[in-house]
Amino acid sequence: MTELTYCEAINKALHIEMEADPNVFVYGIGVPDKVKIFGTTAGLLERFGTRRCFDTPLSEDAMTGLALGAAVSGLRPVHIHIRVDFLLLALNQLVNMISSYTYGSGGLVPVPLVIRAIIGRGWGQGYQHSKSLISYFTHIPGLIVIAASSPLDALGLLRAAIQSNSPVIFLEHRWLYWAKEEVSDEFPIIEIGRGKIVKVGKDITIVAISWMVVESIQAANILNEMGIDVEIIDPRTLRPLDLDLILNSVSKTKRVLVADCDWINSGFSAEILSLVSENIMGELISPPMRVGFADAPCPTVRILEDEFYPNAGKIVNLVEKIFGREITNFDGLKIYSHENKFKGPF
Amino acid sequence: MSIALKEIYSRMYLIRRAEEKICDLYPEDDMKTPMHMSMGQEAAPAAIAVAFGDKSRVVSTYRSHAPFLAQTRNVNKFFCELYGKINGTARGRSGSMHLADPERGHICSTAIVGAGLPMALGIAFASKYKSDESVAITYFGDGAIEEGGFWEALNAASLMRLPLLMVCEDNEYAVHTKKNERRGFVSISKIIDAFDCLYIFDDSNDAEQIYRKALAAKQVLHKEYRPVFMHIKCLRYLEHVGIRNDIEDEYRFPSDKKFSLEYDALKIMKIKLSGFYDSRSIGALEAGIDEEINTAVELAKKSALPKIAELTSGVYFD
Repeated sequence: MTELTYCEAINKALHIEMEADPNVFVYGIGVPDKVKIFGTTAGLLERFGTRRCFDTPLSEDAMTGLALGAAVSGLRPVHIHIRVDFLLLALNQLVNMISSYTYGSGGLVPVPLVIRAIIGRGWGQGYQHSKSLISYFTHIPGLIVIAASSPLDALGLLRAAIQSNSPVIFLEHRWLYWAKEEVSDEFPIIEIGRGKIVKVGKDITIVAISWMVVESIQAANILNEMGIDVEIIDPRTLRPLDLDLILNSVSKTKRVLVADCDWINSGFSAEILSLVSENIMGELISPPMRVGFADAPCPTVRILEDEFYPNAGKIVNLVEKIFGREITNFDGLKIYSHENKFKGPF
Repeated sequence: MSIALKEIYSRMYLIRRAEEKICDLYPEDDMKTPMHMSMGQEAAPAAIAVAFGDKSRVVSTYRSHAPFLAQTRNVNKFFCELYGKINGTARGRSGSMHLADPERGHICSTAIVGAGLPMALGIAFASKYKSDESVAITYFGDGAIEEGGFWEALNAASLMRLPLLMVCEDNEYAVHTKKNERRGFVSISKIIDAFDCLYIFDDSNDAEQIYRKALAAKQVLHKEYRPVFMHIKCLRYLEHVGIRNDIEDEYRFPSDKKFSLEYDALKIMKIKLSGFYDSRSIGALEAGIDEEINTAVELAKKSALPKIAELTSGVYFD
């Protein structure tokens, strides 16, 4: 067993897959520079050279098209964006070109490419460096969307993504980069499309996305002391979604809350709750609920930024509401897991 | 040279006659797909396809018929796709605007102006990565120069020294908007000259001349790993989308009509070809192609439509 951080796990997956397949290459703005995409691309340039690890012009659209052209020519590109917000500049290639290419070949031509994008929350990142855009990507048939929340999952799912023959959007929350976990020396691949039960419980299911898994664990600890036993589901792969895992859990607990790492309006939380409602509405004993970003662009100043994001305290309050309990005031208490390691400014 | 010219002419003739067949049959309304006709623009795709042969990997636009047929000669799959049949290029899913036959080197055609350039950039990247001597060829209209993706791809191909042949089919119209209503620049050649990219110009509509220029481009692409921009002046005979003749409409310049009569690409090539072959042999070539087209249309008409269950199949590979 080896203990790896989330950041090291991403780096390990890249090393393993590049070592195994000479058609894998890694590129993007800043990929080989001194920051090394917060360390995730460390050592790749030295090991594989500029042919397989390189910086690019500031041309998100063309560099995304480059991935498509390379993928249909038998290569396996991994394109990296240090902020997911930059992917908006590439939506034409992603949505008009990449997502439909396999379908337009009658299902015969693979499009093996991975786009890694970092959700860059915190320390005043502001409204153009802090989005998640999850539902933008999950809306599109032809794309696979992954949001791993632990080192083991990041390693196994990134390996699976690189080996996949369909295009993958791989979303990494910046605050998860310091999370640590024991990983077996086989560095196992994790199947795309399988969620996991993070914590077993019997009273309510929280379906948590990306960083919100961490907040949900904190919330579950507090709720446990109040006598409420929470089950936490991390779908890990958001498209295709492991619906059975979610439905089985909600069938058991009869209550559901989605802790999304994104805006609520027309968001991915609505998709999960719709699927739950369509399938097992009759089994629910309380209304399905959700928590997500405030309905505003993300502000910079800390006092508003903290309020913009959902956290463990807000999850606890929502669960208290569901159970008809008195609402705890968490103001001023450091109960939620604000990641103190991220000091900015990059 | 005569063999190459004959091959070029045969592809041009195939394109022209296939499109004339479409014009005959489109009113039957069995081909329910927006057709952006290539008629008048046959010279460059045919000449370039013959010059680059099976090393070509082509990305074209919604005006895809000429590049597709010139590259693949796959007239059966072509008509089957236009009729939406299972033996079309994409089992009827893609229609006229997204023709693709990767095995024969036509990788994709796209309905978004300028969107093919970034993809072709990646194909050129793969060619250099694998050193397989293939060449990425991308067609686009002059309107694409106004798109951001054009500048990004031109810059990247020049910087990364990729074997990318950019073929600009400059017919001076973007849908119905003339160039003087769109261009803030004065010269396409000056734009290209500012990059590490070879600029080649042609306004002859003469496929032989374009063929010779394409052979010169081939040397630069292969030997120097340097992109090439071929600026081809041409004339779209029919409307932006559909089968009505555009040149008769008032907004076109009178010179357009004169050009179409005097510099028709097929006429020019037929005259050249008659210097090498007698009329009987050219006639036999043409009759063979006519027969091929009739057979393809018959095949398409009697072929099966996709099953309803196919709707959501093949969204993902595996």
